[in-house]
Amino acid sequence: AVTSTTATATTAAAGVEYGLGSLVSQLVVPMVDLFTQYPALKRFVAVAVSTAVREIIAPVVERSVTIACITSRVLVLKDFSLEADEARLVSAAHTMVKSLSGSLALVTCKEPLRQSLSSHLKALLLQQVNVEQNPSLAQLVEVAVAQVVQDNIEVACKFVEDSATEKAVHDLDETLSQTNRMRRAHREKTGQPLYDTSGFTLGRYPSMLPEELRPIAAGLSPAQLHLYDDFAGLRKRSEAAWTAVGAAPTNSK
Amino acid sequence: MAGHVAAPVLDAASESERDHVYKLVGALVNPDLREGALMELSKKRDSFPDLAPVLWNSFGTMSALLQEIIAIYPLLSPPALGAHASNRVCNALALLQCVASHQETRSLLLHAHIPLFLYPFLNTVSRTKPFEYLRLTSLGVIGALVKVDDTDVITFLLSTEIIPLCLRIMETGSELSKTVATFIIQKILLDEMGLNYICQTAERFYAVSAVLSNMIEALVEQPSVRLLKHIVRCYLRLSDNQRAREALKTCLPQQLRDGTFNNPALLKDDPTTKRWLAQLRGITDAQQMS
Repeated sequence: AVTSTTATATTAAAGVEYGLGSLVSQLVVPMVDLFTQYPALKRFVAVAVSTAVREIIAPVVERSVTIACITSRVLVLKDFSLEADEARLVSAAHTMVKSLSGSLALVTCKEPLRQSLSSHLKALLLQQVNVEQNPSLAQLVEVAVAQVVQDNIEVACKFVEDSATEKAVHDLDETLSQTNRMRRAHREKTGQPLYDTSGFTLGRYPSMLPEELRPIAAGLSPAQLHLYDDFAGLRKRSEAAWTAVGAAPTNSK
Repeated sequence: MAGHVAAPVLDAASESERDHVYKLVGALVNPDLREGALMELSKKRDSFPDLAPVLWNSFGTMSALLQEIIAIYPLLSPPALGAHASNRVCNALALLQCVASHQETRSLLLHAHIPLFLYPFLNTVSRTKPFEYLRLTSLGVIGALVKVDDTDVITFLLSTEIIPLCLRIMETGSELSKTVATFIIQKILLDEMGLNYICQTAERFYAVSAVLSNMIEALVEQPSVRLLKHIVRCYLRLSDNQRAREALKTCLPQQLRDGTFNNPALLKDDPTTKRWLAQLRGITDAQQMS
């Protein structure tokens, strides 16, 4: 029932589209009184969500991706400096950068998106109904706005999060490609893996650490590799764990 | 002779201490052992001077700390952070603070942009204890970064949104959070680039001076010498900028001119703040005469 409209098309010209169509198709239009009485108003749900997302997505994605890529690159290159198999390095870097960029994007966008969606939808709906003639409509608009936000905030946030993780993997691959090319070329030429020992020349550490705590040329232990796998699904696990210890999210307003 | 005998004993003790720390650091990569290890290690910050380089250089430790940080993002909004989750992440932050304090690791932490992962914590507004504690501990990490005068730190912070985050905490935080946030602003101001940055536009200057002035007002009701000290230092430093000095003529709070804080009981043990206060009055008085 929800389709993109001329209103969406005109505001879309403002910026990158980010494939908003896929988001619009997932939106929920709640069965509230306002939409039952005025079905034509339903289309403004898509308009408001698209406008709100478009308003915040670019800076949120840009910032989250930049930070996540820098942090992941520095830490992965440090921890995998003596890892011969660059596929392991790349795999760890991907898992980490997805988790970091997605988490940052989500935590940054949630409140602004909620506020922006509320105010846009409210303004759009109030333009359409005659509150002066029928004051009870104001209340119906309030209820509709609150319900639309509640039903759609998660999917809208997910959209921003996914845009961030996708760009983060792409951007990180670009910065890692040179390192990986050098590693491959070195191996093909000499038959030996290329180690990055620059971190070992600076000070007492990491050389002074026992082998089980630092990168060693013999390769990383399964427990060490597992740490980077843990970035995947981190949020789901932590939500479950904290809910279990009694910190269930409250629906405070 | 006594020293000769004592030395090996001391070495042996520190060696076992070292092994214990290594064991705890190794446990951080294991999600099941991590919580206990975080708690133990956060107590070792003072007794084991090499903790920061060990944390930074050991495999996966910094990544494990980041996992602890982002794991509680979902509890920030809507606010659902309990005491347990807050304590756990604050132990991780205590270790980050250690890395931020250490000469060998400070710039590494900065170049990895890791402090930015704490900004979502500083951005929270819930007044419950777990959130207060989280904000205070996060400010502690930033405070550790600025404690040593390092222009790289200031350059980094100015490229981020730390100033508005601190200003909001200075308006609404607990006394302790306000003090640390004001300390951070003070350290930014003491840097030449930081002073220029804040005095560059009227908007920035008034954003800072309005918050400082509100805090002075609140201090009349609830005095705090350490907070007053940082605020006065901020004002004094602002007056080093010609345009800011001009503006302070009209916007320096009355309470700093009229001796409200000259209460001997309040500043008895703090001649420095007393002197700064007098200096500040001198500047504005001289301007009023000219």
